[in-house]
Amino acid sequence: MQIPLGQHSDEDLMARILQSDRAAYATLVARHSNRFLSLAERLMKNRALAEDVIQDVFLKLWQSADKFNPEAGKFTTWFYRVVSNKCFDEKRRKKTVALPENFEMVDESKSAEETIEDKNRRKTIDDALEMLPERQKLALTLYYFQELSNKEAAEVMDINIKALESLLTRARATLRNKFDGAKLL
Amino acid sequence: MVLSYYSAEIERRKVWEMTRVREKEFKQLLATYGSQTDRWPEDQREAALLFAATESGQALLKAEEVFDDLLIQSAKSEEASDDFIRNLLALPDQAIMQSQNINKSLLAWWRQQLPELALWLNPKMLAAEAATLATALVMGIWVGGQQAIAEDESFETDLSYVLLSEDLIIEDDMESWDE
Repeated sequence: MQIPLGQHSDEDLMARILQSDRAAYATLVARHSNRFLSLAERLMKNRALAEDVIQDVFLKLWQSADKFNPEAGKFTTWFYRVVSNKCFDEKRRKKTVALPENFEMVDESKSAEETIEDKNRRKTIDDALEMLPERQKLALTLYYFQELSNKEAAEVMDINIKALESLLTRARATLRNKFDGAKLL
Repeated sequence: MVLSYYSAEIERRKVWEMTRVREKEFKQLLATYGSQTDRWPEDQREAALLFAATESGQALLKAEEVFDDLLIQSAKSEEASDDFIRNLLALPDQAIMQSQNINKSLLAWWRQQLPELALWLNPKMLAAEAATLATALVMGIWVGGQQAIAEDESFETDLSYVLLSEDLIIEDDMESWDE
């Protein structure tokens, strides 16, 4: 009796993708696209750019499935690393363009009922996160927002747990200072 | 009585020291991992939960929760749209088209780079060249074959005298040359 693809592990699906199995690829997309899009959006701070990054990496996944070595670790650890590296590369590549005067940023608030105070608070928090050094931001994003364990997050970043803990501690301390300064705490 | 007082004091200091160490470690744990107890590393969770149950542990935990609540307020990501998922699922087709386009581009590049060769690479020209070459080969083989037959007849030599005679008179041969 054939096991439904949905019950196959990520590593099994990757082995099938290597044989150009489109159904296995579709299963992987359905299973993980939200998670990696969420990571890309946090790192890129822009939904459209995040979607571009995710499309690029999934295309590469289809074309170069042989790059994944199941003996080296889990698929998710490997793909987290691919996505975060791609995000950092894109951010370095993009040139900053000076905005014209009186340019108003598009309001990306999720709820129409959000008060101005809530919007300002959220903007302060987002700005503070954006100001973090890249590695601290990645550590915080992986552990806190993507809810990886400390071991998984360390593997994605190719560092040991002590180094991850140091990054997390510094990131939280920096943010706490900023929140204190903005009188949010 | 004095001894029992000092013993109690030593015990009290020990407990205080242990509590201070636990508090220091607990603060470090909160500073690194935050207030979500189910996210604390397994090897530290049990001891941390014991301290969290104390009065000072509770106070520290609540202060960290305020900070974590703020952090959660940062932009939450929406789920991927159906269109986006459709685009992702169509990527294998895109990959096939990409490789076909690359092949077409390479052929176009060669045609651009070598215009004369491109002229000769025209299918009609190629067919004409192949026909010419084939004709030349056939003619050549036929002509060559005809010549070989003619030469063969003129140079026919009866070697039977040489092979069958018991001796070959050299002097006779030399005399004939002198003539």
